[in-house]
Amino acid sequence: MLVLEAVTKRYGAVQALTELSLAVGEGELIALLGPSGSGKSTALRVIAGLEQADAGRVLIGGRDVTDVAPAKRDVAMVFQSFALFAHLTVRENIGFGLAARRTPAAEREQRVRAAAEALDLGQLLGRRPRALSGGERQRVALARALAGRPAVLLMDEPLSNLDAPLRERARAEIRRVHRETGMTVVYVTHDQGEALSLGERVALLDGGRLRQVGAPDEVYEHPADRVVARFVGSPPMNLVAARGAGGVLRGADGIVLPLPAGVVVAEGEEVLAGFRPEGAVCPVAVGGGDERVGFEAVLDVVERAGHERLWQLLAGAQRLAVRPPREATAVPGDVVGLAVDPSAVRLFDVGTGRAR
Amino acid sequence: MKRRRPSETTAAALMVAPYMLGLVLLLVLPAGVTFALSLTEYDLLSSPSFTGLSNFGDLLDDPSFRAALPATLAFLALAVPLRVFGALALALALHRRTRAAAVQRGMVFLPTVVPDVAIALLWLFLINPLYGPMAALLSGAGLPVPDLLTDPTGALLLVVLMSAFAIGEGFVIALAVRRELPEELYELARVEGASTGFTFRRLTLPLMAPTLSLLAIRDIALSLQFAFVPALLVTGGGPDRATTFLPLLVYRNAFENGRYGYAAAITVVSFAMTLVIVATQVRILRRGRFALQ
Repeated sequence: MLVLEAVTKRYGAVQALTELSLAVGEGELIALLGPSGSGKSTALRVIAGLEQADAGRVLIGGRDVTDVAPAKRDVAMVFQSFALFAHLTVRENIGFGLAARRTPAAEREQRVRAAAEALDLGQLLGRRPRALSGGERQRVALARALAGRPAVLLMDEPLSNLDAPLRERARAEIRRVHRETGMTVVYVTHDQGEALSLGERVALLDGGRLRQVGAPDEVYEHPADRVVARFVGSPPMNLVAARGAGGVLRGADGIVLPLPAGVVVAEGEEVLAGFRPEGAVCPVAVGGGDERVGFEAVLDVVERAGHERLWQLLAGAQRLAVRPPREATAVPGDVVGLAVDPSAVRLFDVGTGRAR
Repeated sequence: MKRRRPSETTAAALMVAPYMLGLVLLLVLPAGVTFALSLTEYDLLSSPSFTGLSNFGDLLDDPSFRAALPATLAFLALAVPLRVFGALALALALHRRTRAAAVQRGMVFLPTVVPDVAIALLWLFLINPLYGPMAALLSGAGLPVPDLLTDPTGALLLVVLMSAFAIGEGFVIALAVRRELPEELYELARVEGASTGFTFRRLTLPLMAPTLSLLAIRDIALSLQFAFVPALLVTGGGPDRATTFLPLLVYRNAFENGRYGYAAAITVVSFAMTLVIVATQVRILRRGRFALQ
């Protein structure tokens, strides 16, 4: 449906995108995730035609649109700022593109109504943006993009300007609209939680390069490199420098991790070992006949977030995050034991940072 | 010694004071004096003698005033829209941050800062029907060469045209306002398939309307200032009083004929006229869809 072929874009000395290739399926919702300056917004603007790629091609619906004007690409866009026209009513805002394309008035009204109804804006058609709440404005921006029935909907951080509770609702709204319209959606965000919860697939960009594309679980469970491992997940994956030693991995300050089944690390070979906070059992009695490979660390910080809790441990200078069970009672300063599940351990190359 | 810090109000008052002083000395006082003088006869030699409203009565029968009033209105009707939309058009054409546009912006502003007299003399040369470049161009193309200075309509249009070059300030204001408009609105318009014309009508014009309204209101007074020197030096108020606008009539009566009281009366009428036009503009704009914000 939407294909980027080796798209490269530079702004002066800044390389914004380096040979980005990506294929988005018909009706798919893909999240472009990355820190600021990663090139995700540039990618979106190249797809929209607002920026011209220096090299590479953009195809929409099998058609090469690399040199086609934005208006003729059959795309619609939702901006972070919503980009609503303050002097126009909600009706006129939603119908802007239809009016620009000279859609007959009767059909325009009908499509504006349909788009407004879909987003629960039916009562607000006569209002100006100034008289709307943030959530309503966001829905107007979305309705305007839907009214033109584009082949591809491009969303650039559409929820960043909303308060957290509103964001939750808007996310559900986008999911529902996507399901009902079956539209292909490219969703740009710097919020990994948003990308994981909304995207059918997640594409992670960093430094203008595509690091990984995959289903949210795959990106979370099997990060392609250390950048993905550290960017996806809250808190991020624990990463520990370690060496192969007698069938296990040993790091500094007594850290010891098991090897996943079937994986061999040569004696003395350096690797970067990672595990998610929920991949460790903690607290656990270390030694004392327990078969599990474990070590001890000092509990540094206890974070509580409703039903969840998170422990920050210190093993020497190494900070590690784990999720203890609810009934755990340790307090900061206590020494606790932890054992990492072998299947939760991920290995990365020390030099390249790639998963191995 | 203990020094007390002045309160914010005192500080503000102190800072505004020089401006207020200037305002009173240069604007309020002269205006008051002008109103007072308009009720007198005064030639600078003897002291003013009170004559009541007779100056205003005389105005009604004065053929030069009766010619100046419609000439002034005609000038305003042509010059103000031309100047405001000229400033807008140039601002829209040159708002981008390219080097070429930067140079061109300087060129647009230049005539506003060059002394009026120099520009007036330059125009006299440009339009000279015998040896000016305009004549050379037109006759070279086989076209008749108009003598703008002997044709009443031509002279009026000439002064309008000259005033339209001194739009630097309006241009800068329009430029600043255009740059304040979020670029995303224009990007959205591009994605949604809006043509240049549609974008201008539906986006730029309404969003800039409050600014343009203010520029237009301000220009009722300002454009006459920029017409004064051309009318004095290039057309000499003629031919047949076609370019004797009210400011020039004031100047003639005061500084050439020594009728200061009479000139003051014309100034008062001028002021009243400007007031009426501006009030009408504001009313129309308020009633229109873009209220002044």
